Amino acid sequence: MATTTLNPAAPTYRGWLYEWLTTTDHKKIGILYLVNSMVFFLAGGILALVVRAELAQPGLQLIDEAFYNQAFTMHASFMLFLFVIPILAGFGNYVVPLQLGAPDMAFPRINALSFWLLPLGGALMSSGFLVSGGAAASGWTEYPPLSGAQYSGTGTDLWIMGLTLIGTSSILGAINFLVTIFKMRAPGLTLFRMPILVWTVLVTSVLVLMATPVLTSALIMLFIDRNYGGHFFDPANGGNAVLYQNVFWFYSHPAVYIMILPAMGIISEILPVFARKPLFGYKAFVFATVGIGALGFSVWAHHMFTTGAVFLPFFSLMTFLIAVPTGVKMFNWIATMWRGKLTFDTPLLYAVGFLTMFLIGGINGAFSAAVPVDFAIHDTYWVVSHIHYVLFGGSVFAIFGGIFYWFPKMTGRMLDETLGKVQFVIMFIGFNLTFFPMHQLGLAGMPRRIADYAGSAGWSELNLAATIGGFVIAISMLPFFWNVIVSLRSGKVAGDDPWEGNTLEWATTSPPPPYNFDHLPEIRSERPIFDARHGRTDAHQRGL
Amino acid sequence: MSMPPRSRTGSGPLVAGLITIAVVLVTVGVLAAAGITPQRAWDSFFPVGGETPVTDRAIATRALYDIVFYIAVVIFLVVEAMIVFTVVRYRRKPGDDTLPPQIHGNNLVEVIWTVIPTVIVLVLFVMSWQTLNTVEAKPPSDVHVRAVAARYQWRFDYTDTTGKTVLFSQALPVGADGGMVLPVGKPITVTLKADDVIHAFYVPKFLFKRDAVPGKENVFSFTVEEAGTYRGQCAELCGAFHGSMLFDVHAIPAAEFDAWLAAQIEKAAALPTPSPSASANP
Amino acid sequence: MTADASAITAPADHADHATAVGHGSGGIGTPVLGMLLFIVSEVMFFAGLFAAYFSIRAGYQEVVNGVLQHSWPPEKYADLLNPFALTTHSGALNLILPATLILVLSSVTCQMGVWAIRKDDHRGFVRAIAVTLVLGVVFLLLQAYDYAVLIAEGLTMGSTTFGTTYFTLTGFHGAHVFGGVLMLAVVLYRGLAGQFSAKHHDMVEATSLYWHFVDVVWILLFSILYLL
Repeated sequence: MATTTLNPAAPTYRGWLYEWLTTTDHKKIGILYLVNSMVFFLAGGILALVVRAELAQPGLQLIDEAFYNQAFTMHASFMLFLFVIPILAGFGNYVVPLQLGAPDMAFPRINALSFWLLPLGGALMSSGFLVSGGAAASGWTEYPPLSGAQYSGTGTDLWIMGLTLIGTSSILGAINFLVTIFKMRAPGLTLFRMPILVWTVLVTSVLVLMATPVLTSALIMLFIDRNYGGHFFDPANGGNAVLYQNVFWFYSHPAVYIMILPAMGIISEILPVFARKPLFGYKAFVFATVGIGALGFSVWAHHMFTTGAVFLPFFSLMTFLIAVPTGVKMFNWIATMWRGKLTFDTPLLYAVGFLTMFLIGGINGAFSAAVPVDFAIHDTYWVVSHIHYVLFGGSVFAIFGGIFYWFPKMTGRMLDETLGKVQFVIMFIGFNLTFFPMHQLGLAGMPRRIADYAGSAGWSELNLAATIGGFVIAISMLPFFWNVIVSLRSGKVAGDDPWEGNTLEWATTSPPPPYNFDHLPEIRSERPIFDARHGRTDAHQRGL
Repeated sequence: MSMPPRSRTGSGPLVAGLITIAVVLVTVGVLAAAGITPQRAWDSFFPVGGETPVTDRAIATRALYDIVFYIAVVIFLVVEAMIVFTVVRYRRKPGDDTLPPQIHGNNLVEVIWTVIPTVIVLVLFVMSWQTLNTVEAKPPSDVHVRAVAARYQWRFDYTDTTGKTVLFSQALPVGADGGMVLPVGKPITVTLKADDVIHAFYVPKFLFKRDAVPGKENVFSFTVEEAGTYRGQCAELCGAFHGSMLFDVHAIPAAEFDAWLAAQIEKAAALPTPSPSASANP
Repeated sequence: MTADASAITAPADHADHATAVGHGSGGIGTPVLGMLLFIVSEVMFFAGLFAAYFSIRAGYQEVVNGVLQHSWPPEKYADLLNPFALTTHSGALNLILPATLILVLSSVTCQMGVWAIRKDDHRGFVRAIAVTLVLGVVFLLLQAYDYAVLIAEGLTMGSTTFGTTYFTLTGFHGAHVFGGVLMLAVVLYRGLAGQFSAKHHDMVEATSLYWHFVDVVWILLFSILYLL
């Protein structure tokens, strides 16, 4: 219990394991989030390698069609629901209370519950591999009727139950973040002095709060259809198969922003520190974040253009418009680096990698907003390329940037810079080798989610390139895990503020004490530590 | 508090440059060794390898694609160039511990880079809406085909213009004797049906797909402009053998098509008992 | 439960921080804010179910007297769901209207409990919460009775999409009433132990908010399923 640790002199009379299993300290829970997410990142990565290995050449070499479908379904489910969303929540857990100058989250025990629902949900979902019929295999979207009782086995029920728990975890986490942000800010930390990461977590939490319950309702209806004879999505009995898609995407499109907004927040923390300049256009950034969140609720049907059941022009317009706030962010990031003094430590490398790759993910998304073009590329490898440029080129690059940036704060030791740069280069090359050819595969007409293709289709070389790239990404993880293990034991000691940071987490020790702060500096801007280091200069407003 | 100055590796830019050059050389080398010409590489950025689309709707879609693509390429090059220039130009020099000018923002540039993208996307939206109206248009047509998707095959019912009476049912989805046979140069109306799960009718060279949703009929029209055989495939995950749910489209001259259809109807009538599925009406 | 979490773990100095920012004693309490946000998520959950209900209702067609037409509820079950009929076909008493009135009444008694504790009136508070708890349990029993009658009349989860939506919506509402009853039971238990006062009763406020929410959902459900 957190109160027992409020007295720093209190002896540790519980074992190490007991402490981690029962902790309500937001920092320990944050680290638990990160570790749990990395475990599922590995599992999802291995499934991705299985998929890529099978597609390396025409014909079925390794696995059968049924397992192939399970592999890509569980790959996506792990990566989206058990890696990207929770690891960003993990950064939020660790960093947000520190950046607010708060001693913990508003509801520490609910915070622990939020975390422990995740491994439970993940285990439920994964246990599908053990039952007859295998894990869920209808794609991470689980469209009925294919995911109905007639066509899918017990694995789908386990998937639904697991995802419902994960969703509940997200909702409780979102409530916790919102209450923490509204009620626990340090004196002087007004809303418009909050770090951008806190802003993105705030908007993300609103999205989770409004969207995730709708996913829960979709899952519950699907579960009722499968197990209790319901007819929600059963067209043979008056149900509506497209209804599921509407309800599902009402969650799952905002979910894309749930997966990218905190990543944008991480980038917005890293760039100013390593450029030694304030974030350019702080308020524009806040408004763009809120704008993306709001527009995110009006674009869900762009995943359903080819169903013939949605009003195309409206969703097309909204989808195009969402490019505007995203573009504003991109320009503000570049302007933040402009005329700065950039130090190329690993976090900045990942941030720049994010900018260059997320740009591609943003641009190739605009193709799908043009409805007739979407008719051509929907459900082809183009879409696979798009989602990976956003979620890998975007979120994952930001996640690694965040790990390198906050690892010293979390552990008191630096990660090795050389290994970090080696990892970055291999990952960057492997990532592009995997996902860039998928643009061309999609244009050449290769549908996604197929286990095999004809040698005569002309897709063989590009698939081979993508498979090689996938294994290069896998290799890039080796220096990372080696780096973490070695640095934990013998990394360079970090000190309180190794990067000359701007925000409050750098005002305490590394790692911080259980109660976080002995005293807080005065907060007069969004960069209290910068102010303390350099004194407040009034020469801030020199022109561009 | 005073921090020890962070170590700056002077060799960083050199290493980065060497890696970049190496990657470019290897890429070009591998592409050249695989016999891929610059022309072919460029064409791969266009639908179906840059080949001329074969339906009227596909030609409209391709025109829209080209516009979106060229705008995207320009934006991509400009923004990436800005990123690369900034990163190269504003490196911190070794030993330089002074602060750069602390610029917090500029409202004018914020307005500029909000308004310009807004104008671009609105223009794109209007153009894509116009193309959409072309693609979605349903002119009167004499050739009505009902494509029925079921795990994991296609059936093509040729119906009268009301869609009620099946004249002839093509049960074989692929091959010279099977597939969807269509006349060149005549408007065609296709009605999509599915009875089990969701499938999608996708012919890459038509630059078009549409879902076959159980409990819902989707109708679309097009005119094939060029004779030939075109590969089609289910594009919505429908189960284990989704990847093998293929079909062929044979586009033949209109006169040949009329003769073919008449012959097929005659043949079907000559059979003592038509297969039950073929006579089933919606 | 939310009340506990913050009360125990928020360090004493934190309240001062909050006050300095202007979100302290003047604003709503931390547990109450948490409950309000939780209710927002619950609203979205029911919104998903209601959206499905209306979508299915709008698309429903059946053959009545040889003609395919829109009829909702399906012809077969139409008079089963008349809230003003005294009995059903089989002669069982129709108690859905009394159940509705009981739930609405319980919201009133719950609020009386909140007003009482705000004035430090412990006796009135405990009495009002006890009555609310009993009314909640009675509502659940009446709903169980209603389910038994409907199932006896042949309306089940599988009886067309109407049965599916009816039982899903009312079932999840019932589950929420059950959750509310548990929370009321905890409030009553702690109230009997004298744990609340005019100053410290965040959990009472939070529980009452939740109970009103559950009540409002039922009024919506009743209007849509029985009246509309």
